Amino acid sequence: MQPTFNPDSNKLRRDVVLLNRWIAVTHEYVRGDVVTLFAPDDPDRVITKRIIALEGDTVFTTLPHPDKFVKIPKGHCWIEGDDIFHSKDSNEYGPVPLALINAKVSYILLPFSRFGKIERVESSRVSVFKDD
Amino acid sequence: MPFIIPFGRSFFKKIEWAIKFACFVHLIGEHVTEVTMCIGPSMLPTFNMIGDIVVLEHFSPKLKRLEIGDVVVCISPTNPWRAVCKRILGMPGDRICIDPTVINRKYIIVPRGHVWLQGDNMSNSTDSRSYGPVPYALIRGRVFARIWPQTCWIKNGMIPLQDE
Repeated sequence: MQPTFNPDSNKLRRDVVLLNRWIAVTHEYVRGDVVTLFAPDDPDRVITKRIIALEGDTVFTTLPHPDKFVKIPKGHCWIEGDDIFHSKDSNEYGPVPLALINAKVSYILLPFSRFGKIERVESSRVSVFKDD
Repeated sequence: MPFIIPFGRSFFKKIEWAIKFACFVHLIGEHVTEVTMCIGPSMLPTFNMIGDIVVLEHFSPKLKRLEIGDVVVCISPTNPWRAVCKRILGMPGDRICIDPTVINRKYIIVPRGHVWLQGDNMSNSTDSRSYGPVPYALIRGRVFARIWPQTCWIKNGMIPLQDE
């Protein structure tokens, strides 16, 4: 998540962020939100990623993934880090269940120079599923 | 503050105790033991279709002491609101035959940090055969007893194969 959190201007100090835990109760996720979730390959680790696509969408993947594009199954989402070259994300282990998400990262608190809300950034590699 | 006086001090003490009790119950339910209901045909010989009341404990998943054959309750990967009750049939690294009844059998190696879950009633169960291996972090607890209709312990159902 390098340009968004812990950028080089931090000089190796870590960001302090505010988490919204309520989203894990309502499960109302929006494409572009930054969330924390349990790593699918290691239950002890919590990772921070951005939601790229929700169920029904089609994602054009990047390299480690074997397929050219993936349709997200029911109850799953596609997550990616902002620094796509140094990120172990859905391109490596595929769509992840929504139930793994435990919070949404809503504000950066420290350092003060970057205090503020985290913007939603939508990816251009998604074709969004429209439900009539 | 005249509007508080009719309640008196003891009223606020009671509210304080009620909040403390609610927090205690929540803590026990989240980290120690929990009573839930298990409905559906997927675990049929072990649990009834119309619903059993079972007790689960949260220690085994946290201490990584789950084994093949344990009955667990986990959040459904296809629906984050629903919990399902299944039996663990594969731990990370195990090689599993997805469906032994078809001619061209397919095998899968359970990836790191995942488990393979299946219901006991294999002909009527939506489980890992349809949605794949389940992340370990989705497991809520291990079922160790049934309260109703018959009270009994639920044991690990694994029986080692014996050579003749």
